[in-house]
Amino acid sequence: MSNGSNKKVANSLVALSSAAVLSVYGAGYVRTRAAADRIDLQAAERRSHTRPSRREVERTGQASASPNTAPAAPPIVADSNLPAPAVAASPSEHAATIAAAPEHTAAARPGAATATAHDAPTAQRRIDDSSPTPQTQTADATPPPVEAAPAPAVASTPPASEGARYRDGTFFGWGTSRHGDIQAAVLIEEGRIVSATVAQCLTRYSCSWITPLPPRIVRDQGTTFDYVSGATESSDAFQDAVADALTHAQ
Amino acid sequence: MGTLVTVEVVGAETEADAAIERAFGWFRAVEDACTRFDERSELMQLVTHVGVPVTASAILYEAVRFALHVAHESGGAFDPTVGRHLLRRGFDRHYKTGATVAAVVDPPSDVSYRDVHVNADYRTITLHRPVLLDLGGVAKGLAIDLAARELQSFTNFGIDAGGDIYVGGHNADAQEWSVGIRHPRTPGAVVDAVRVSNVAVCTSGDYERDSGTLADEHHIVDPRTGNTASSAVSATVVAPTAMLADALATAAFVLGPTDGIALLERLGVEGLIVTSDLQQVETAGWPRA
Repeated sequence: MSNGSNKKVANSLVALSSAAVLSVYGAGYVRTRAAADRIDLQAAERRSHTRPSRREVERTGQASASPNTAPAAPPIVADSNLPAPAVAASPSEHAATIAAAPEHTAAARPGAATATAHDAPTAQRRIDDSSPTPQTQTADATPPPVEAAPAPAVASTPPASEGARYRDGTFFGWGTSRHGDIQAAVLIEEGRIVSATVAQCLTRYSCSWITPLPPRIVRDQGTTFDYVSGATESSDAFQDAVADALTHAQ
Repeated sequence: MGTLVTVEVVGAETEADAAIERAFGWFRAVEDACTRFDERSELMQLVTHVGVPVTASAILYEAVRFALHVAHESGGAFDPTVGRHLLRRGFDRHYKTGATVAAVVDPPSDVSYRDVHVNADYRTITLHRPVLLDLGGVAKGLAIDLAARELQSFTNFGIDAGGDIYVGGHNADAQEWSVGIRHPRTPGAVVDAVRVSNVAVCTSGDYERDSGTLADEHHIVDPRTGNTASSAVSATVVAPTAMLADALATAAFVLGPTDGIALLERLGVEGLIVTSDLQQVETAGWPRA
């Protein structure tokens, strides 16, 4: 087994995946959805702010109830399968996108779906904000209302940069998963996280699987992760809740 | 895919809006082409044509072609025809939406990736025998890579699709991105972490969903036997593309800590496997943070 041929194999698989991506990218995709198609999506929220980073969040694949999801390619026949070149989004489409997402507003729980990376102001959406108006959606061009600091959607640790301290006290936050909502209570003493526990468990299943002192958060106060690989929503709900709580502690 | 997708662009303001929108669009496009849970998808139409070359879209063609290559390299530990096993185990129900997929195909029990061929000249796919293709191990990675391409010009960005990550450039603190690896048993805990840039980090774990049909079975099946892969509880791969990391994480999970790490070393990517007794095994170049 020579290293030369191994490298060749490795490079060929990497090269193959890169070539595949370029091939698909070059072919473009058909934007088949109209504004009505967004029914099956929980729309991204837009943020404009002055902080160095920004996030968008979207949930894909919620297609069960929607008849509007069209396949990207027509039935299999000839080269008409080739997708049309990508069409850039028009401003009116953006507006339609935002306005068409009121059910997302109702369904959205605070914490999980709102994600800005650092201390940017963002609209907090609460469970009881079920009125189908877009006021809780932040439109593209306008600065968001400053209601509360944001919560990272998937980071396992607080949004503060390394070394930042928190205010003392007990802070509450919400996270959501497909199993329901979890409220976390985070106790901070002398600027450091002492504990993070489940305050309310509104999930379909017991929250007893949530360790009351997530080692990551408590042990490594000065270390933050940008992302966590392998995270699924159930664990994210509690992490989101803690992150949400910590936004109130800054 | 039923996946929560997060896109982060460092340092960009509204000029990233259009690119981010296109990035999300790729997830929808890949889902539309590759989902098993909608009989109108291109994939579900493909599987009803047996024995004839079928012209495929770029997305479907490249996903299938790449899946076949990984199947070959992994000796069948990764196999897109694993769908026949998934159907039996109750994964015909979309785990987020609850929608069921009609059993449009009744594959023989001995089909494998060898029964699927592609033709690069005509961009066709031929199913020589009835197969139920499952592109779950490739499609999400492809979508991530396409989304990353949209954001390339911004250099510093991150994509998180349900725990499969791609990071480019540096984070907002001007450092390489830190990516924790979820502890396979303790929610909220992290078993290890890497400090990386311009790579994908993808994880296969036995905790992601249970089958609902067979007790104590998760959804990662060894295609060579039809049984649940059980020597690993989690496998993470760090590779230049998410497509590769995604597929190899599944392959490594099935192969287990010894053969899985050997495969990753042979293919020149990095990885970490957590065994069923919660030991960690990693490749020599694992970029530990």
